[in-house]
Amino acid sequence: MKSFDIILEAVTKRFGKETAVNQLSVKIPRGEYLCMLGPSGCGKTTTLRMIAGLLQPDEGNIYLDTQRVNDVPPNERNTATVFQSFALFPHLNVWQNTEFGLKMRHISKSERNVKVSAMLAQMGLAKMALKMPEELSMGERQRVALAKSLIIEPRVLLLDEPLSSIDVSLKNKILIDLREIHDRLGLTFIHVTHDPEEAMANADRIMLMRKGTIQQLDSPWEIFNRPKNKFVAGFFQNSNIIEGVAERSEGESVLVVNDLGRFKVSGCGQIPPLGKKVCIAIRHDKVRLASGKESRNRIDGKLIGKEIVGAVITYIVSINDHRTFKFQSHMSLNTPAFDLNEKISLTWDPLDAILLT
Amino acid sequence: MDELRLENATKEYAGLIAVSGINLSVRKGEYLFILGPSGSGKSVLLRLIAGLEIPTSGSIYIRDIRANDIPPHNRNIPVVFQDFALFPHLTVRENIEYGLRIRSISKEDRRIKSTALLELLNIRDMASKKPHQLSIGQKQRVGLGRALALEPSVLLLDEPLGALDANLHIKMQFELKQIQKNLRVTFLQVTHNQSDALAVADRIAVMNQGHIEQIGSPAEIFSAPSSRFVAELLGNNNFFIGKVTGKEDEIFKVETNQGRFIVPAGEKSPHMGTDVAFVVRHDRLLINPKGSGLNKLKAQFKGRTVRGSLVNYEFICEDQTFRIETHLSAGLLGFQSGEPALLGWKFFHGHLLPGKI
Repeated sequence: MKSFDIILEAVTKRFGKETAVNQLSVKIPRGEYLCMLGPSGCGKTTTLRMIAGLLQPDEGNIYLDTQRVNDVPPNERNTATVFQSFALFPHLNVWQNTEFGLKMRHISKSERNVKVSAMLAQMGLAKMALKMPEELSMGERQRVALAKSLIIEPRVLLLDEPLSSIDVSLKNKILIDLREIHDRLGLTFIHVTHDPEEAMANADRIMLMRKGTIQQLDSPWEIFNRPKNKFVAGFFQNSNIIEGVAERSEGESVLVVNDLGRFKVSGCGQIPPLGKKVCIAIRHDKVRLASGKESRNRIDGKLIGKEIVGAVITYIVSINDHRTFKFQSHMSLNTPAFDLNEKISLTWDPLDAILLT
Repeated sequence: MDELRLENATKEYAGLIAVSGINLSVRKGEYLFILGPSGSGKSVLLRLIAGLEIPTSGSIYIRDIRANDIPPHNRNIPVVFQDFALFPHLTVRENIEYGLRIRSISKEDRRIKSTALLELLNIRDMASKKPHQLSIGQKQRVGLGRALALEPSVLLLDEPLGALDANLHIKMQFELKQIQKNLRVTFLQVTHNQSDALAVADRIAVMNQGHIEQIGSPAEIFSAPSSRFVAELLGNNNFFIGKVTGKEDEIFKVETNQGRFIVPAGEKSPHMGTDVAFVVRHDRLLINPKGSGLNKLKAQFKGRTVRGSLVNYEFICEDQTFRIETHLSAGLLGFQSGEPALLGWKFFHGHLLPGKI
């Protein structure tokens, strides 16, 4: 049997009339790097705080290592939290900040010395032991905050938007550091973020939330490639959405029709009732230039814009006055150059289209 | 006539040089970005232009009129800050009309002006709403509307999107560009986010330690950085360091730890035997390339990450890491850790750094 570090069972939390977390259930295996992702107000931070013990659920149960902890205070839960602001003591130096949790637990001075110097070495902070927080860069402060949390050897490390005050240029490096520390220590990490890039980069699984419920809980690959519903597909803003009516089905394929034509979706797990309104999502990067002979899965339009981010080029194609369709290419792919207002025909593989329910 | 011109502008604080010898011409109707890490002087430069700081030496001209002594409110160069600084107790229309009212513009004229802006910014339906009822995107448009009501010659934007997550961020950046294009107003935006600048700027000025390190179009900055600093700030380049060992026409031979390569001359013509550095963009480096005119090196596989539709490979050659960025639609290549592979690039994709190595 898999051992779970954390189990949430139908957990609900209300603030006044607002339900912040609604009947949420999740099992988090030991050693997992889980990212709780979602827009602000989705309940991800509330969920994290309930795991930390900073908030109590109104309904449901929380188990840490098989023990029900609803009534266990935060300092007895064997979890540690790294906050957005890092919460370092400004009057203590790096060594003293790191040592703090051990002092509170009445660990002897000799043992403290051994543990703190090992931790600082591990975090690449050995040379900064005597520096004060204000003398450190944001990246270094982040590492001190981690050292301070990890020194008490928690079972679970909770990270609340740990990168939101970090420069973009440093973010990538710190993400790699976080993942590396996780892999080295084998701890369970729960990382709350509103930034899909962070979650995509670091998570074993992403728990995508909206209005206090889980929309999808899957590997980054699954979430990105097989979104379960319109919200998930829309959250990454990397898909074209086509609305239409399910006209007929054939095996695992469904034919969807609308004013633009007929669109085939293959590999559908579930076939919707015929005549029902459905949506199809096609990722921007799955769209390619059509030869012009396709009778299905074809969109005709004209190029109205290009968005270049790094080496990624997204072409915006206007289908008619109201709708646009995007396709994405990369500078390494040698896509032919287009001029604005040039006519373009696009197509995609029916296996790359996803039927949304 | 330039919309704005800085001549040798320098600002010192108690002997500390914040910006030094800035020469910059801002053209009418362009979208200029000031890009730099924190502490590079970009915000000081913005404050000098806005009139919130007075240069220690040098001159600032607004449409050829020396403006060093013109106070901020007489410059007609408003600043849009990160939080948009809307008045919470005023409606959208009242917020937009605010600047006109304190300039004693008649009620009728204010009405005409604000109606036109509400229309243009696509927030007409929100005219009587209060800021707290608006989404972030709508607030941004109101903030812009208020600044634009005074028909400024230049609009300054100080990290306007700093607080937003990645998805919304890039979406709103493209929206800013669209508004700027429609209105033909000069925008000058300060940011530390290179993707924003690369995505929408007409020109980018890269700042380092108080001076402008490079100024040019996004394509120039992206493909032909002037120095190691610029190349590292953009973070999209592989570095090669070596000695010039030969020259033929406009092509140099450079001897590096990784092998001997040929590099086009570009704007620099170094002498035989000098130390040089050149860069090859991540998306220009190829794995097991075929064809002629290629530089090649042998490397060992280190790792692969897939982030969304971007695939990044890392290889090691002579203790140095080389990165390759490709697109998922080109397929995934599998390697064992340490497996040897041949990397290469078309020689004309190498770019000699003319500035400091």
